[in-house]
Amino acid sequence: MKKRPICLLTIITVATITLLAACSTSDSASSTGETSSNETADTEEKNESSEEPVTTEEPVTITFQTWNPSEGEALTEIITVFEEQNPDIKINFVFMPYSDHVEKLKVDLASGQGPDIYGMQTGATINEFRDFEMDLTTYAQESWGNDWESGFVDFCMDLLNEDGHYYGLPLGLTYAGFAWADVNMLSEYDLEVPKTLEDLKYCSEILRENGQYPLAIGAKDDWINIDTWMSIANDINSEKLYSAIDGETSFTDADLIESFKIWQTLFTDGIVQDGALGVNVYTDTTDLFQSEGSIPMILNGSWNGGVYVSGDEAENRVFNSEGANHDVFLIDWNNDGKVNPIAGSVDVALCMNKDTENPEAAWKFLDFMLHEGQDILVNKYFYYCPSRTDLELNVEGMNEDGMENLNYILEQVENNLGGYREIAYADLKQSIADNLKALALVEITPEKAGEIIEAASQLQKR
Amino acid sequence: MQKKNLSGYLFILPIVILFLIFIAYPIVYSFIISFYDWNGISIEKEFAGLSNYTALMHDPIMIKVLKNFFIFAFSTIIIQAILGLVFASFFMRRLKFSGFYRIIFYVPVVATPAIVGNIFSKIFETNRGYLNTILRAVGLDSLCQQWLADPKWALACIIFVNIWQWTGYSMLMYYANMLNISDELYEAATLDGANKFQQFYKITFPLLRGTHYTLFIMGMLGSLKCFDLPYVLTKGGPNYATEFFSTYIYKQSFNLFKQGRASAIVVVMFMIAMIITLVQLKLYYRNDKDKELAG
Repeated sequence: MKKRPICLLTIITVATITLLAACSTSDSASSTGETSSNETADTEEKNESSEEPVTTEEPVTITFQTWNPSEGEALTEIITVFEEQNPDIKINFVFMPYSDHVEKLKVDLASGQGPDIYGMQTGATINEFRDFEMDLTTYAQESWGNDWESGFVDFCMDLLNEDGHYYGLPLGLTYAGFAWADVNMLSEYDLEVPKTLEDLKYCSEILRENGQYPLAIGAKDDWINIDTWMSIANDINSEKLYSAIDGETSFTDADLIESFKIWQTLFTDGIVQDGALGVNVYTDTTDLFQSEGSIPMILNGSWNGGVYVSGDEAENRVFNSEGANHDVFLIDWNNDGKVNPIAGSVDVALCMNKDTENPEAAWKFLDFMLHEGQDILVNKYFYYCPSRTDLELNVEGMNEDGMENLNYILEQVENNLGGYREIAYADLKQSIADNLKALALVEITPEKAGEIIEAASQLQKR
Repeated sequence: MQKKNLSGYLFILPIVILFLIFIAYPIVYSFIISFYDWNGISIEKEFAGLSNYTALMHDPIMIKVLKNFFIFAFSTIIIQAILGLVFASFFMRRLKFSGFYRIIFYVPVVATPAIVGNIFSKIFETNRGYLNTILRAVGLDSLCQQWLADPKWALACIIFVNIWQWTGYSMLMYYANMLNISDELYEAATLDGANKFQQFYKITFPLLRGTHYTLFIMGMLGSLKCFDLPYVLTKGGPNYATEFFSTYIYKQSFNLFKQGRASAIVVVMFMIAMIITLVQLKLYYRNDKDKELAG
């Protein structure tokens, strides 16, 4: 009789241990719903490494995880081309929304189950993940020669350079500080695309009088607020903006206070829409501008040009139908006769997991992504502007209106680049974001905002 | 005797193992991490003593978080309980189609908060949102507000959506427990001349004491964990006006890479949850003979 409970107990304990063991051995691919063929490939791959000599010619599987570019036609095409050229390598693509991507990376990399190649934002994020990023400098030198850095746009290499070492390489560039307008809609109200803050104020007044949206901003998102404020500060004094970010100029400087004042007037003078702090850029305001074509102006970066070739039916109707006319434009915020300089960033940098079991295959894929992959992403789908100096922008299927806008963006990149877009100091960036919102709500004065941000800047470790 | 005792312990071993791994370990680990300066990613952690807790004590946003928690918790719990009681009382009267209405009231409970948040963000949008559009259509323009963009209204909107979603749950809990109250009590009260209000006040309400406490504990703990609705509707804004413990932990951990600070908030949150539960259990069992659970 006494044996029964012990037997039962043994069964329960064994079942528990089995359950736990099953949890611990599941790999990242299975946890994200990847196909069983990939799991099999991974298992076989691990078996290969434990058995010597290598007796099988099963393809190596490289896991590529990112939030950008998103899953869809472009990535499918890239992976198909790569796998055709490299039958010995299979790509397991894992798409994750940005916050989930970072969250999953934190756990997976620490547990040794991270992806082989992953996308990273420049600025604070890429620095925080440094322990798990492979130094790619030697790979780049061996593959592309000692002068390889000249193959990429200077400013993005400056952003990624860590004392002569590179832990991420740029897949594409984007530029912030732009606004977009539906020219036809503006002309319905006898308005032209605004060039100055005064023009913008006038446009907004007329549009509001007619029950229309003025300039739209999704100010619930910190990034668009920072982009817009930086475009204002860049217009007033680029040098002071970047030297303040680097802790060398005070945020209480008159030029920066002026930038906060102008930012605040966007909200107090009704230049942007009511309730702007309650909506996101994606997709609250972009839906209205891009998919519905029902508002005349929106603040968004160079990447917005992708709507011309996105293949989305609604966007196609708004941007590619007969007579559609949209302009990308910059504003002279401080009325000095010059439009604001733009700010550039690496939209996504590709990193290699330091603990990857297949560094050669991973590098091969990374190399492919930066070259053939980028060609497709840029010139077929216009996800980004090119990060390579040899890649000419010539987007397939983009209409004349789109090409005009693209040329305008390129002209600004060439002649009117104020500096970088991404602030690398997380606390300072958060303080700027918080105070821009406080200014928008008129909870503080521009002077007070300058003082608070300066205090955060002084505490910031650089 | 000793062997018998030992086999008893062995029986609970599997669940103890699971408890230690999945519940105790994360709590203890969070507690340990709260004493470190760590970004949540790097291999190295730097011991920081009590600095994360000191920083929290001087953090003005924590005051907002605590204030939002108490406002949200008490308003949602009380309003949901009142509405739940009222609706449950109606359904007890065997109204026509009451089964159908019960289902309708319960449907929001099973809806995903993220989807509910998305739908309500369209309703509350300032310019073309359904609420302001309706108000304008009926000539009540003066009542139009920047619902989610105004710190004065944003928290109220989140409270409203939460009440909309969870009232059905309170209603069902009260309804189920009202069914357990013997009809004889009401018959006796009627014979003694008690009117409907007196019956409710003297019989129904006191006999639902267990449900009141359950809903209160669950409401408080739910408010502590509240994440989805504020995150989708306002992202904790504007300017922290709707910041909650969970949204603030998320920002500290994933936006600012301050895992140590985030863990310190987790510990504070955990302590609040413990205190609330202990106080409530004490109150619940204070008149009962069985006081063991209350300690």
